[in-house]
Amino acid sequence: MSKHRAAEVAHGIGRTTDGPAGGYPRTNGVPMKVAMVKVAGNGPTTPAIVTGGGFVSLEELLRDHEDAQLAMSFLISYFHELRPEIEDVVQSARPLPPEHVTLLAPVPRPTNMLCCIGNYWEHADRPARPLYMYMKNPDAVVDPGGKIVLPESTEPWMFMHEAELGIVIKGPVKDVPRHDWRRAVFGFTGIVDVSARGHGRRTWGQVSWMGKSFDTFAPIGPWISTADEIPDPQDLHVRFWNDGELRHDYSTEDMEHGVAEIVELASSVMTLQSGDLIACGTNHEGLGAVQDGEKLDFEIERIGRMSLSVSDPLGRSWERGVYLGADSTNAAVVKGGAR
Amino acid sequence: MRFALFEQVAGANASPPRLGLVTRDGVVAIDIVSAPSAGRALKQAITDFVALSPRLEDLAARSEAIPLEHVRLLPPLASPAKILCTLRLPMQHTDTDEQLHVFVKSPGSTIGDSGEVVLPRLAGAEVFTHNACLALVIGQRCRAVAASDWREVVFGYTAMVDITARSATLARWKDGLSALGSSCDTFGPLGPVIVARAEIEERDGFELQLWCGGELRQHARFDDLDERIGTVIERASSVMTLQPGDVIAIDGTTAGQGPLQDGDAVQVELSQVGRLSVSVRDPWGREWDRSIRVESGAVTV
Repeated sequence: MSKHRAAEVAHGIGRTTDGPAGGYPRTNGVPMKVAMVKVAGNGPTTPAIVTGGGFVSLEELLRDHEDAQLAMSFLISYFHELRPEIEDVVQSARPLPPEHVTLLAPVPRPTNMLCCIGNYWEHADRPARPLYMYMKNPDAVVDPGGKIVLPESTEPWMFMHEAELGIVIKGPVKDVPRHDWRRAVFGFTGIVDVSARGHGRRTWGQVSWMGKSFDTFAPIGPWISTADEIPDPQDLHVRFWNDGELRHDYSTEDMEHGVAEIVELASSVMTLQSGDLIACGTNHEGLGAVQDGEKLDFEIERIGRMSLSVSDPLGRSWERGVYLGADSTNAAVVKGGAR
Repeated sequence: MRFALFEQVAGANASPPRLGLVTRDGVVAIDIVSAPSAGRALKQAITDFVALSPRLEDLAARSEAIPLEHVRLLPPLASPAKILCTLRLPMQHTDTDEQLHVFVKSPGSTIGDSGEVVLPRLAGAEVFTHNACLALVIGQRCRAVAASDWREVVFGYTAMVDITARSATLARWKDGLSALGSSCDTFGPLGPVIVARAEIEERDGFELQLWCGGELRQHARFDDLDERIGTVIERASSVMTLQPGDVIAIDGTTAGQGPLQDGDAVQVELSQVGRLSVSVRDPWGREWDRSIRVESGAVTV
């Protein structure tokens, strides 16, 4: 693709309309999933394309970057321009089988990591709340298959999972109007916005939101589905299991403020950079504790699935199952069905 | 040693950003740290400071300095780095104690000396206020640091103004629920330089002052550093691992936070470190009552 054509596609000009109503930019190539992998046997850490047969390393195209985040940011910024070369590599290279790579977080160290607060309807009968966001510690990222380590702080009473759709930004962008959101979005991934609780399900340290910034509180993955993989980001099924028990089980259709509005608000505040991540918030009906020794599984439709583990140096324990405290939004509590 | 990020300005042209040491005669470019960007070089210099120190001193002594009038100082922020700001809030469910918080501010918000703060248009944001801060620059990767050990992890000091968008009631933008209004582009004037901790006479403490339009608006002292700095390091590092180059901005006083508006000249001066001057531009030319003040979250006019 020429750079001129790439610019047209990036701005949605002359795009084909084989997507759903409204038309999502589809280039002439196949949709793609982009992962970050560490190749076994002292191999490189590099972005890779996820294919049916395994992972196709893009190291040849991206080797001059200082670290994994910079390589992914470059790939995101120039994806349209690089696409013909990427497609050549995918067609000619033999994929690395999954057992020959370790999957890493696709954006290992975003410049900005923003998270929406209270952004799902959860069956409530009320007007939409204003859209809120906070900034999460960008050093808290955990890889797919990685471990959430609970802090030794005993000020929070509990720690909970919040499984969320994550928007991966293509920047730099500022002041993107909602109708133009696609220009700012490279793709989508999953993020668990692990949260320390002060009491009930109230986040410990509200206003600063520091209860969400403990080390290891941002598992991200398993990879990025490019925007053209996702016909409608407001129609994705999100599921999250804790030791096999289904906790989160919701559709992104339930968001109070969708991806378009989220991009508009975040970019009205700050210039967003390629590889930045915005978490869209969770549906709190499926909240629950994370605790020592648990295995977590997280799947978003059309993106993928990953597992995580939990360890707690203090070995604390909480009631298992979906959180049904007085402030739970789970139907069992709201309808008076529990306790 | 006084570290700066700078670009050399010649007419309308500027050199790429570089890491330098500020000496009596100007800025000496540091060419002994190789990195793909000035921010990465600063991170490297902080990480390897002990080993590099003799060579840096030698470099400063024998190199020709670029006069300060030929350079533009950039915000001395390592890359990547995170910026944390302190916030003291009443404890949840008690009305007695204060709880020390830190929140994350976007690194993209920083501007350097002589930079320009540009006020944005944000739905529901009514006023933009300043808060002068003493900024710590972290020297090494660390977590769970005891307050009394703070010196081991602090590389140096600089000054910051934490600018915040607020609603008409002066609550933080978005009904007081979010610190996001601190992360607007240009809302983090930082600098002018980083002064290494060893250069600071601790028994003199720090004096922090902020002027807006020539009026002294904020004035604070930091005398008991174990209390003012140690407690912040302990708190922040109990939540997250701190990395070399991370910045923690500690507000000197909650008093005196006032509105910024088009045409304002703002200076913040941190004793033993230096003075940072920025200007304010509002493309929409809005005006506020200059006597508005934020006092510990409450409003006084």
